[in-house]
Amino acid sequence: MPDDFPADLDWGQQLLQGALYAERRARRFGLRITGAEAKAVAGQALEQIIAAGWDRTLYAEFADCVESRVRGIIINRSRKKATRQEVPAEPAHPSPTDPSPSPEQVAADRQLANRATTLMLERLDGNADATAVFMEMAQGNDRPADIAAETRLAIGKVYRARERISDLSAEIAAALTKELAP
Amino acid sequence: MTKQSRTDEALWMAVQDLDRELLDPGVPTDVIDAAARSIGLDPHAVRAEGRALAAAAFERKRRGWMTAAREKIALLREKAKATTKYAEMGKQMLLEELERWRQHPAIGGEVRAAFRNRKPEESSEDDLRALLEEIERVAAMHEADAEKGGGGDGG
Repeated sequence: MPDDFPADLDWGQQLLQGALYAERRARRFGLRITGAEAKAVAGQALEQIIAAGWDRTLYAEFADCVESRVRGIIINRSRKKATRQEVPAEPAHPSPTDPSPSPEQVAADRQLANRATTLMLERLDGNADATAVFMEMAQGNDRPADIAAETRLAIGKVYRARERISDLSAEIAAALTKELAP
Repeated sequence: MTKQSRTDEALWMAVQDLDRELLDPGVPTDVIDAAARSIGLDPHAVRAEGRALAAAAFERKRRGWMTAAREKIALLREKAKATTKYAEMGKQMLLEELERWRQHPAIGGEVRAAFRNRKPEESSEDDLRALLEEIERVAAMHEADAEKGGGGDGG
């Protein structure tokens, strides 16, 4: 039975980080939820995981399991709450289920990604830490510890900068979707 | 470290994947706590709540398992009680009961196999009664297993 949770798994920390992820994820779907609502979503996800067990054949990391459950709950909420027009797709995210996008779609995705990254740089203007971190990411450097070493920023600052970048990406995604709406 | 410039698409996808970082166990506590406060959550209270929530969920799961086990035991006892009826049956009725079990969708095959090399009529009444009681127990176990299999574990 797939429910052998590690004894040292901190369910309190899981609820807290799950709530943060839920809030961010909801924002990406154009939903504004409060911290308390995000906590409720994370709580529901953890209860589902405990009831069903952690299937390691599907989710190697426990965080993957939480991510999947939270994302599922948020998607269901967004479908129930919002009309189709209000639910933004993730603009520069080509659909992973689309096996072979048309050349037009490839070009459109490229153009959209270019616009999104340009907007990001504009919005980061004045935030030296976040700009430096974004430039490192543009070079293919994704690990916070490596970014900290390259930029000589404290690791906490790197995480905060990445949080800012993530926040802005949700805003930009929403803005671009609105811009593209017929 | 070798650096390689990313395309805008790859960069944008990496940026969108940053959400996932919030679930990373390696994120420093002060970063998580600050993010929690920014959405109006008290990190210490939420941690305590999470531990209580998990304890309650595990308890519900444990009780659910115990309830299911109790129901299965009750079912087996009920079936065991039913076997007392064979004591009052004559041979013809016992053979009719046996015939009924031979047609049973789940265990009919096993019953038929038991009489592959002899005719039921050749068995004594006591043998038939013992056999029918055994068949009832096997059927009850099949039923309990089928319920267990139908419960599903999910993931």
